[in-house]
Amino acid sequence: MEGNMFALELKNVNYKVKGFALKEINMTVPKGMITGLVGRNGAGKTTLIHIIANNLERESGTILYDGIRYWEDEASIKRKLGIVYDVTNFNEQFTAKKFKKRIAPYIDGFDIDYFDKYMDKFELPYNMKFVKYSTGMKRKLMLILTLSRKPEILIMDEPTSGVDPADRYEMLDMLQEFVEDENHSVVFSTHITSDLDKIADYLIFIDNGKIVIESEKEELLEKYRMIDIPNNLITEGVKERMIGTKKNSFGITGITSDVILWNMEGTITRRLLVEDLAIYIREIDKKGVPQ
Amino acid sequence: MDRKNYEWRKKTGMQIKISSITQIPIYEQIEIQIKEMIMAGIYTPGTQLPSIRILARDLKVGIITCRRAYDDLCAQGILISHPGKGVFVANILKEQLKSINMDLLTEQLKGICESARVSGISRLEIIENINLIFNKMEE
Repeated sequence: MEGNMFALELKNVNYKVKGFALKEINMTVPKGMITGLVGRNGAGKTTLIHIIANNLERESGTILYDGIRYWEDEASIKRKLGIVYDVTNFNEQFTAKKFKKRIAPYIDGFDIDYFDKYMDKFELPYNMKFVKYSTGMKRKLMLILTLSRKPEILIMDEPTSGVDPADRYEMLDMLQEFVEDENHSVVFSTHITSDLDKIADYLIFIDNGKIVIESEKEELLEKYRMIDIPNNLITEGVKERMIGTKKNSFGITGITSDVILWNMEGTITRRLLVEDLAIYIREIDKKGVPQ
Repeated sequence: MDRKNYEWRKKTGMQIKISSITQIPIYEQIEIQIKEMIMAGIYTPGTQLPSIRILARDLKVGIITCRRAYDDLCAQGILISHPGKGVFVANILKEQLKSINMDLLTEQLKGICESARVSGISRLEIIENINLIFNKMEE
């Protein structure tokens, strides 16, 4: 790999509005990889994306785009960034046909062949106004429009919400096709954590406006196990060695990084999914991620 | 699905199936199956494997997951990486192949022993059963 290791680097980024703040955000998005952004509703994912896109002015901190600051080369950074927002940002009164004729030729570097290929693949109609598209169709269109501009850093806010499983599979394939070029990078937020279990390389968990976990995926998932401990084995101190326990009639269930508990006779353990971390995010924030 | 994606599969007869239900980590599933294909003679020394990015896309898994599988197999001397060219099946000897196979068998036997233990079947009963199977095969 040439040049910078990181597509994005955020250092001590702060942002504040009434009732919400992003606090001391330090994070990196590795180049050539797919990074998932996970967090509850209102955790700050969308705000963070708008800060990176330079739509919102941060209070303090530094953001490096492929190693340089925004003002150092605004034109090249704008070209490199491809952002899919959670709401449409194009004229919905247009049809794809009209868009192709009137707008596309004037967009710098717009790849018409790519646009057509995926419009056909997703069976999106050329003669229907975008406003008439379903939620899922709009999501697919937004991804196609962004990727047709040939960006290098793709940032997406909930790109797969409202999209059916078959089309979601195709969208994930588009992302993986995109990172076949090792200079391309993807970061996207999603509540569909199974997508991240599949294709993500790195995970960033955000809660209450701060980064709780930032890690390589496999490494992170191997730090914990989901464990069931039957009532007769719940001795003094067992609960304290677990993160976020839930009680049921047979015993307790929860996640733990304690290897002694994993190997305890009579307990049942299973590997962690991204969803498990998303559920216990607040408890992990309190106890910290084991080294 | 795209042509390019499946070219290497056709060329090499490589078939990797990823299960998200099993407790075996995905990188390990990839490692086991590549070893199996080498044992089966589908992959011969010198065969080029797909790049980690192509493999990741094809299997719908992470890039780092694939890299880990290749790195592990390279460390075991089963694959060899030529920077800038790609990853290939190494020139491994018969004895090495045998030991790889033994490792695979041991893993399977562990599962069998565990099932036996849980269902109250004794060590002797299992060994007797294996003897019977071997006798039948030799008939």
